[in-house]
Amino acid sequence: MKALIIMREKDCGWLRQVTPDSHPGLFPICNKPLLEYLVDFAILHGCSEVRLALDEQGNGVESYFGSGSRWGIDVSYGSIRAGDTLEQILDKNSQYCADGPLLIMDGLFFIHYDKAGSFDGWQMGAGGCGIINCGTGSVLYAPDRQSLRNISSVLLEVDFALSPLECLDDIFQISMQILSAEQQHYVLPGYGIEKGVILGRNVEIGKDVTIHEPVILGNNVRILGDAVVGPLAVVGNDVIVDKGTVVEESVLMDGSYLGRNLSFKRKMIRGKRLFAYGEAVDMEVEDAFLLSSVHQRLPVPGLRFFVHSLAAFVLTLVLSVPYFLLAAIRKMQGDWIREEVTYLRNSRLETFTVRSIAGSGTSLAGRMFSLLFLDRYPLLPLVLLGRLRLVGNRLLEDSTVNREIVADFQDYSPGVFGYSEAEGVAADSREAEVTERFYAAQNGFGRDGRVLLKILFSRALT
Amino acid sequence: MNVELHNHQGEAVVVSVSGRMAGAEVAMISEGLESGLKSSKRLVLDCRELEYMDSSGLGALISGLKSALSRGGDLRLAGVSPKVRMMLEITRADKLFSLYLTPAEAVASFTGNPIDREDF
Repeated sequence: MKALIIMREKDCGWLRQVTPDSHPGLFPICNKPLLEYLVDFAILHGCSEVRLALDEQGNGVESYFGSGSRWGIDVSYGSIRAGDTLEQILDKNSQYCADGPLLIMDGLFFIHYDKAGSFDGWQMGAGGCGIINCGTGSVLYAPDRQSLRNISSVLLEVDFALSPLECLDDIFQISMQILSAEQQHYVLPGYGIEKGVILGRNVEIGKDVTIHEPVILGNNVRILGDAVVGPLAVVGNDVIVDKGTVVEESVLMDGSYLGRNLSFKRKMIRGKRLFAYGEAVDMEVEDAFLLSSVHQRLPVPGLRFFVHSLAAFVLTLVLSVPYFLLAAIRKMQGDWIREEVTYLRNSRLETFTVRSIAGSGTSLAGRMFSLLFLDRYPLLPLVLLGRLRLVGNRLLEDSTVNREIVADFQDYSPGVFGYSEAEGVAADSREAEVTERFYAAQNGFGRDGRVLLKILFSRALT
Repeated sequence: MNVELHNHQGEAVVVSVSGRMAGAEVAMISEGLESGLKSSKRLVLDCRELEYMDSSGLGALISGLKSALSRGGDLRLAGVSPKVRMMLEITRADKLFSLYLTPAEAVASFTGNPIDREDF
């Protein structure tokens, strides 16, 4: 048997507002692309070949399904025009549809089925044909193409049902329905650790996090301390839920960061976009500390270290001459004291000691010293040794208070230049703590560069 | 962002805001609330023209609320749009503020007097 899946832009285009970079057919429902449910459905019917017929550029559809080998079937692709009727589409794919039974899925809808169910209800239709409709599409079955001409909508006893997809509320509702009652009906990505909990790869669950089933967590998910996730929460891939945030009856889509101490109920979130179920509210939150997009981590381990080291090496070279020149002047002026300072290195409370420079710094040379960041010069070799980042969390001296802060800060990774310094917030304020945790959770290549430039330029401007 | 103050017969001061309550403009609302508190400890923030609010805007409202409460008064919000309401909801600030549909209802909630919509 062969399957033909037709998805027209006029039916699915509305989803592009939420997924502008990929084809709406790849929109995830419980972390699985919508089209994949249809492909699975075809496989359950015994189809060994599936053709995806789309009227707009696939935007990732081909790279996702490839040749279909992952599913053990042959997947091929056909292009159609926006105004093509089913008959015209069949003509365009006449060779593919030439012989044997045909299963056609036409439109944008969700199929509720149970992988353990039986899929032979079609035989009850006249001539072994059948059609099941919903407001936004239909599923047709015919033993051959000729029989399709005589197909009629009769009452069939089939083990599946279609749900129309017309708005995000429909998607939200279906996600909740799958989570609450149909998890076992589909092959969902991840593995079940206990009833109602499906986990993806590389999931990091922090201290005192509460998970209430049913939940689905995608790959590369980080849930930080004291957060509460579930019941009824779908968490996509590359998602960070920051400390103390509550996510209940909500869908967090791929690449979303949720700030600290927030509360989400009956919401759908994608990056900085927020949709409220049943309220027709769709807004973009401009405050990155509340909601923002998560950029994918560096694919090559150690690349961050390499780039930070390279930048530190360049800075060491550039700052060497002014450092030694101004150091000599300050020494002559008696404004030069060396002191050893021990800093905390990570949440395991490891430390490192640096010979730092103290002094009033009120002289012209002292002010120049500070303006050119030469006070950080002794720290730069530590970046090359991998003990510090060039850009990271604010350095905290080893003290009882700071030990408590760092022990509770899983992602703490100090840098020569600190995040809250870039934002210009007072070092010991609550805002500084939020900033430090935000950047630590969100750290990324581009962001590091922007933080460094912000610090350097803000100092130059002052 | 625009901030305007109206004193309603000594019963409450209505602080009307319009535009975006975000970033550097937040200082205006802080000042507006502070000067409102000089006339009355009972403040109503008329949000009917408020388009957007970020966390710094919310911070200003919370400090305004604290000031009002410390004087034995309150800061109540009126005419909050669905988007602003959503911001209040996700930050859990909806539990801190009393919300009313109109400024008239918010003022009346302080006094218990019938609502005279003509005043607004």
